[in-house]
Amino acid sequence: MTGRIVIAFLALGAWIAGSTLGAVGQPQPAEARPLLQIGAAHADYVPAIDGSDPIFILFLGSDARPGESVDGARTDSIHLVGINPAKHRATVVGFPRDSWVEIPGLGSQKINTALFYGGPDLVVATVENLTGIRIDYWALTSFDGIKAMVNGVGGLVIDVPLPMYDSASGSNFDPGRQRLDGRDVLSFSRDRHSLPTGDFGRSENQGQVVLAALAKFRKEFTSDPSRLFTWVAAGLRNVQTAVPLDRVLSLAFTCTTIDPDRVDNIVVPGTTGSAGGSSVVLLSSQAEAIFADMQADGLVATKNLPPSPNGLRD
Amino acid sequence: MLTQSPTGTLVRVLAEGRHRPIPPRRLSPAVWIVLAALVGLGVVVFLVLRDGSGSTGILDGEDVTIPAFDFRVVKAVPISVTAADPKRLAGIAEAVAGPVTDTMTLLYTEAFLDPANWRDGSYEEVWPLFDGGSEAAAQQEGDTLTLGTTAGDRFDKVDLPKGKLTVKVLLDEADEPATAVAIVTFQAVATGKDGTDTMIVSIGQYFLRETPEGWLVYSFSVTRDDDQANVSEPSPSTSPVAT
Repeated sequence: MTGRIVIAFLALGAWIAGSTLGAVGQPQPAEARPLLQIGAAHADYVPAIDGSDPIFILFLGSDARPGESVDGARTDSIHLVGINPAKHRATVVGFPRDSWVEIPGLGSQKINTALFYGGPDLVVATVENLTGIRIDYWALTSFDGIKAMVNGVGGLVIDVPLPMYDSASGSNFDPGRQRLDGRDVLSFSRDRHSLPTGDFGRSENQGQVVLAALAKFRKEFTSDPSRLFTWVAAGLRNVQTAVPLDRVLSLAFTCTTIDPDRVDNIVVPGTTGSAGGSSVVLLSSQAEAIFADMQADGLVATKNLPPSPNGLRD
Repeated sequence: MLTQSPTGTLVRVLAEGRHRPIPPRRLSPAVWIVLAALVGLGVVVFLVLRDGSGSTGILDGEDVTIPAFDFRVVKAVPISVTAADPKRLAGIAEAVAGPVTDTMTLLYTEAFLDPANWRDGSYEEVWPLFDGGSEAAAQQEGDTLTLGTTAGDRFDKVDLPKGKLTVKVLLDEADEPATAVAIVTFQAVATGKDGTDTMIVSIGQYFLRETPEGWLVYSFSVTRDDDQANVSEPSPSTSPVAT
């Protein structure tokens, strides 16, 4: 019994000793440690697509009227967008719709006829053949689609570069920044008669719409990230594309990281001429330098930027 | 005969010792082994408790209770890439809101309410709730997404949690849930070691997707806006329970 008593005391001592030994190594609260940071702090993470490889997306606007087949018409707008995720930059390159180019299997034709003859795939093949750039995705929409998408996101703020009054397209705009609804954005995108450079200026304006959409998307995402769903849904309801939804989401998140002020909006330069008995655009030799430059990283160096048709960079 | 009281037993032994010398007694090897084991056990128990809820917490009487907490779902909103009637899709969104809310409740409980985590600034149960690249990002932003690594130095108690969330669910072409976003408002009262109360406020949006491990966060945008000056008396969403 005496032994058990001794053991009990030793056990108690062991406990105290153990606790004391443990306490010796315990870090004391350091006065130098920062106190509570009262006030606002922010943390965010966007799963943008990683890597330095550029992403190329071909945006096509069909001139199909309501009730017509979207991919059985001609393209009123063709824009190749190169995105550089690593640099958070991008380039929008517009192709004049009358560009006289080689369409695989059809010979030289106006670029806007490729959609009619072979759908989006043939347009992709045509642009790839022209530029040497491998296109990752395409998206096709229509007059109705543009109106619905713009209205679905509450309109866009566009900086109208020049007075635009044209009964054919319905444009009626004084110059300057203004909020446009879906119908107005469509008119703005279609009008070439009001612009001194015609279809070149129109293509640049269509690029302006892309940038306005990016600016608004980014602004809305910053203030309310859940708006991304509204944009994706509005887009997919009105766009024909083979891109799966999860990839669309990845691209959408990536777009939130791109500053519209660091996106170059250019139009492939060329001159008007005649071919096949009709008026066409003959692309200039500078186009090759633009395509070669863009192929590497999706971006175009300042030295290769062509003049702005509407004087936007002047 | 020895008395029943341990104290009496000791007195009796000492008394007997004065009259009848007790020969020195050698402890058997087995007893020494037991003693060594007990010393080791004492050290181990101390260290384990210190790293967990803390033996100091037990010795000092610190509360290790996790306040009961559940986010209140304000609404579940379906957003479809098709033109389907949102009313028809409401049930799908509500079904997703359940597991999404469970994830968010667990995340905030582990990040702000469990004393075993915030007392030693270790939030290992939080990070697995983030998927993909967001896990590393979340750990880097740990002081905003949790009570903070130094919370144990500053606070004695965190209580009175309240939280509400809205869940938006993006549905694909087949009206299947593709992803969801939880729009979260959370607050709790943290009592400092000087007795000062601080309203802990976390407002944010968490994008989640379904994985084999459940609905996990893959993107987030969260703002902490704690306020030491304006701690009102929030009514707790539920009463605390001991764990």
